[in-house]
Amino acid sequence: MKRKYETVIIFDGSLPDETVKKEQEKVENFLKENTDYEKTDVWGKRTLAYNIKKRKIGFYCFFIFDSEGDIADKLHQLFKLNQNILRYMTVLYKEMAKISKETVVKKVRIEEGDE
Amino acid sequence: MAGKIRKRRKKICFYCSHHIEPNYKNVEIIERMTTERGKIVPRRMTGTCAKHQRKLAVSIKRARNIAFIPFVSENIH
Repeated sequence: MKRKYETVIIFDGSLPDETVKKEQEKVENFLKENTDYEKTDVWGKRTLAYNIKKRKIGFYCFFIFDSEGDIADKLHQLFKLNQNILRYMTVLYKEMAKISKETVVKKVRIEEGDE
Repeated sequence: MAGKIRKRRKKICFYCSHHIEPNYKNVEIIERMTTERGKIVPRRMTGTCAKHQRKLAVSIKRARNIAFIPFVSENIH
């Protein structure tokens, strides 16, 4: 049964742009051959909330595709040995909610009872 | 001493009122549901409904894995 998946990959942020593009294309080609590839969402460089492999900046890419369930293992075999990929995660695809910034700041108020 | 009984304004679930579902990519919303230290806030404080709190917890844990939010923020007060 085909389902829609999403794979997040964090590339090393200190790499030059061409290298990142090449890696991106490699993944896309693999997906085009083995799945119903749909699109790539590039979020670009972003500061990481904590250091991953001693790096502070990562390059985020989201790959969205339709496939059978066993795709995750095959994909992750590619990513495991690649030094340029810091982290990866495959999940079922759910659309992001579109919400304005003012709504978020106003409505959600948390009481800090921290130690 | 017994605790005071205060009337509290009823809190509405953020997700129910906006008709959206928790998603690990909505970092701005997720951040509001964690404390300064990075801990998940209990739903009696945020007013989130049970169903969305479960999904929210999963989203927060995914966001932590992908380094959108920290596991522990080291703020020294």
